[in-house]
Amino acid sequence: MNYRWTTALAIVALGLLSGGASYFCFHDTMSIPREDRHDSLAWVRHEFGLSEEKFAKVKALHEAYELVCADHCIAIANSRTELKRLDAAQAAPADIAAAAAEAKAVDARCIASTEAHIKEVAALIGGEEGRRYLSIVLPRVVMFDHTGPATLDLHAPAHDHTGGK
Amino acid sequence: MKTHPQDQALRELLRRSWIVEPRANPGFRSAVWARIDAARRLPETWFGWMRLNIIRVSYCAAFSVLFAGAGGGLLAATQANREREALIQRYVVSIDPHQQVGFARLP
Repeated sequence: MNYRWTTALAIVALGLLSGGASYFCFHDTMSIPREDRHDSLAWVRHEFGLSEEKFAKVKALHEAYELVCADHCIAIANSRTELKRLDAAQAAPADIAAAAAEAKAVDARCIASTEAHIKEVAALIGGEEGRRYLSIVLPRVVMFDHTGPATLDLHAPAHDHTGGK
Repeated sequence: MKTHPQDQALRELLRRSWIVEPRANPGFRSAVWARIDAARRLPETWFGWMRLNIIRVSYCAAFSVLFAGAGGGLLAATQANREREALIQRYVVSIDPHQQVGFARLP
């Protein structure tokens, strides 16, 4: 039955066509534009439907925080380097404990600063969307690697970069 | 292979009791001609055949479109979700110094 096979092929082709069309339509509606995907802030704009004005404020806040964040990065790296150096040199336990306390203090300052920034951005977004921003971002920062053991190795990556997600 | 004596008896029994009386099917001839006639009347073009089977073809096409459409949509949703997660992670890394330097926090 040639006609049956021709019809079956036509139906399969129709199915593939509609599947492809459905994929592209849904994917384009649900994802953020391809040209914005390199920008880490693009997600915030797209996800919370920020107006240009609001986005400009969020961007300014983000850029200002980048400098603070860079300082925190240096402080974290320095505190860990010192801790590692003392550990390698088999320094007095009191010195190691002091360096560890300092590293913890640096950690606490960084976390507090990051949380403050996140809350500031959430307040700027405002309303229900602001609360949603907070519920998405804050756990990913707060929960980052709480379950993993601390590392003294400067070159070792953290155990879980996904924040336990 | 030896024949079992009981097989012989069974054969006799069957010969006596199993009587086949083939009955002629009165509709056989007309059915054969009907099939030949149907084959002769088969449309010459595919579109002609489609017109004859439009209901069946429509059902199959509708099912195929629905199934593939739903599958495509589901795949798109899964991928968009994965991309969204990656973007969230990229944003979180951009504001979290611990994730930027790649150090776990001290317990």
